[in-house]
Amino acid sequence: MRRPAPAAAVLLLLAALPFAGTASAQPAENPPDVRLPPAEGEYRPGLGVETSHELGDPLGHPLSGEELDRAVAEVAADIRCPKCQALSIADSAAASAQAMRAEARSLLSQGYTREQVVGYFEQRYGEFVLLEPRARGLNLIVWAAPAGIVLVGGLLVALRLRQRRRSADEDLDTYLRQVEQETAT
Amino acid sequence: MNRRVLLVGLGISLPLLAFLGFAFRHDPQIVESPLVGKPAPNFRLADLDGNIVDLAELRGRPVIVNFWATYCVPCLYEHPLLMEGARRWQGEIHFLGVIFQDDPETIAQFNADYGSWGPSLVDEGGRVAIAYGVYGPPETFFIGRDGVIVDKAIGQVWPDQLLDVANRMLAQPAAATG
Repeated sequence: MRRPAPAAAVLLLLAALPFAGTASAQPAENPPDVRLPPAEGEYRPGLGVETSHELGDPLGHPLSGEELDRAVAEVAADIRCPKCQALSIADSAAASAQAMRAEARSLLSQGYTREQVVGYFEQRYGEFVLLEPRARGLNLIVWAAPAGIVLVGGLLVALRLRQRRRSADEDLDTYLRQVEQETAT
Repeated sequence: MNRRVLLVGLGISLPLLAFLGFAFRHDPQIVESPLVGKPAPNFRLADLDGNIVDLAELRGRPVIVNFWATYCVPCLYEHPLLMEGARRWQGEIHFLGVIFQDDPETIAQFNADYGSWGPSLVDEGGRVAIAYGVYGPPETFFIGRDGVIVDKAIGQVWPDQLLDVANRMLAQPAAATG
């Protein structure tokens, strides 16, 4: 059998590059044979997970119709899709995002408030699941850093300008004194 | 003047380096689970044969809950280890698999071909995965005798990791069970 030319081997390697590292812990966004979440009311009775302990009692009123759709959309816009890059579960078609939207809908229809539903997801996935980090603790760096950088930068520029003006004034004074001395003689 | 420039440079770069040093100590791919140290969410699921498994009824013995799928390559790599673990700690630790967005028929075929280390539970709607805050398979939760999550593995479970956590769970006194 004829050995492939080196150039052909390089081309083969380059072609294979996009497939390198696909065996990661995070599977493709839409893996094959995905089971989509069943529609509301399709869950088998008696099966599932107990969430009442984590959620507590519903603090709002059960939502339905357009009000429910609006509330689901609001909650979904704040929650990060766990299998995507910086996408909310409202914007993602991943099966995980669909399942989380269905969970949010189910909870809101039971009377849980938007805050309770967002809090539930945060409690399960950690703060990372919030698209907008809460302004507390180390997160304050993210909120304060831009203002701090502008402030410090502005201060440095102002100091430098003042220094330059003072230096220019001193140069002028020296020059004038020199002129006076030369014209006096 | 040069000394001042040096001081300003150090003043800017040192905090930046310290911040980066702190950040690089953590793998950005790994998000710590807020559930470790907290009671495991209780679930009641059916396996592929329709048998019901209730997590609360397993209290008193450590439980390993593994979220997996056949399309997930690391799940396939860790399969022999979980088979070995289930054999080694038979009667001491419960091994439960929760199917993560996969077809039960595909799972059944996989189990028939490669063996099974525990019941494969059907998580309709992925509600259990949400309650456990699963980002993607494989994720493994180690639940102690008292029903509290002792540890969590993100990605493939490694032999020394499994041995370490299993020994820790088995060392928990039986009296601590709730």
